[in-house]
Amino acid sequence: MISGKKALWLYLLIAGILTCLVSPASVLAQEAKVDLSLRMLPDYYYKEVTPGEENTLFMEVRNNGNKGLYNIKFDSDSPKGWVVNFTPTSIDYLSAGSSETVDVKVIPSSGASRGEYNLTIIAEAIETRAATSTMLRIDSGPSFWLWVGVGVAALVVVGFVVIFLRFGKQ
Amino acid sequence: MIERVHEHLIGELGTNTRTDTIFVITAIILNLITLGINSGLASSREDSTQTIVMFTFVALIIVVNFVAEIGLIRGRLMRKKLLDGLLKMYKDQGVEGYYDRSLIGDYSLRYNLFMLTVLFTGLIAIIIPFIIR
Repeated sequence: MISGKKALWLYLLIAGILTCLVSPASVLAQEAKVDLSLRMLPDYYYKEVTPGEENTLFMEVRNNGNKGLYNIKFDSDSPKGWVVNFTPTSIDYLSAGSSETVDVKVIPSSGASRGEYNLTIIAEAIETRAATSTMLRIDSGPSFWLWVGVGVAALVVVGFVVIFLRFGKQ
Repeated sequence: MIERVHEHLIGELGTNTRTDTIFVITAIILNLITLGINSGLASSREDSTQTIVMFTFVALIIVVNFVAEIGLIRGRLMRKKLLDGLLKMYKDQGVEGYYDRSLIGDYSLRYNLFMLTVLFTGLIAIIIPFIIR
């Protein structure tokens, strides 16, 4: 027969073992976390693009959550007249902790003048959405402002000559 | 009396020189300051408010440079008249040999160079920001 004191210790031991086994299970049964992130791959912030031509950027789509994401679609907010295409156009399934690279093909409008332009990319899954933006720079192409400056300067020279001739008389 | 007139002419020449110096220095300093401001505005993001501010400064450059040019032309003419009077006085006093007439031409050349300096700093202040933009 087991004495009462030993029975108590045995009971406490079994209870302790059960607690240790059951507790992690309750921890594991935490709430599902949904976290989608977008990141333009290095060197594509302030990327120089050419008007009228296809410029490819690379974007990493990462699922930082603990639950797979289905049907991730992409959209963009770009300057007027610009075309932005994604390859692949959507991601059917992105498992937890994994990432995928998407090609972002940007075609600036052929008449785009020199300057900096903001491109915002949005990824939308059923459960969540994420956005990122990047600066694109056009260095070439027709510069409207340069011609404005030249025009103003030419007017100033003409004005100087006229004043010189008109007021310079004795 | 002739001494008073001589002093008056010399005084006028001094005033004339100071006024012209102010015109040249003001125009050049304003051109350089505006060049800095407009270059800063042009290199920032394209915005309609900044464009309006930029054009306002361009208008200021044009007005100040034209005013400086007119002022310098008038200054040159005034100096010539004063020196002509002074030379006539020296001639009447029989001391015209001490003043070389070619100095008047040198002054005229110097005024034209001042005007060119003002013009070119003004042109640079106008064009550079537009090139940056």
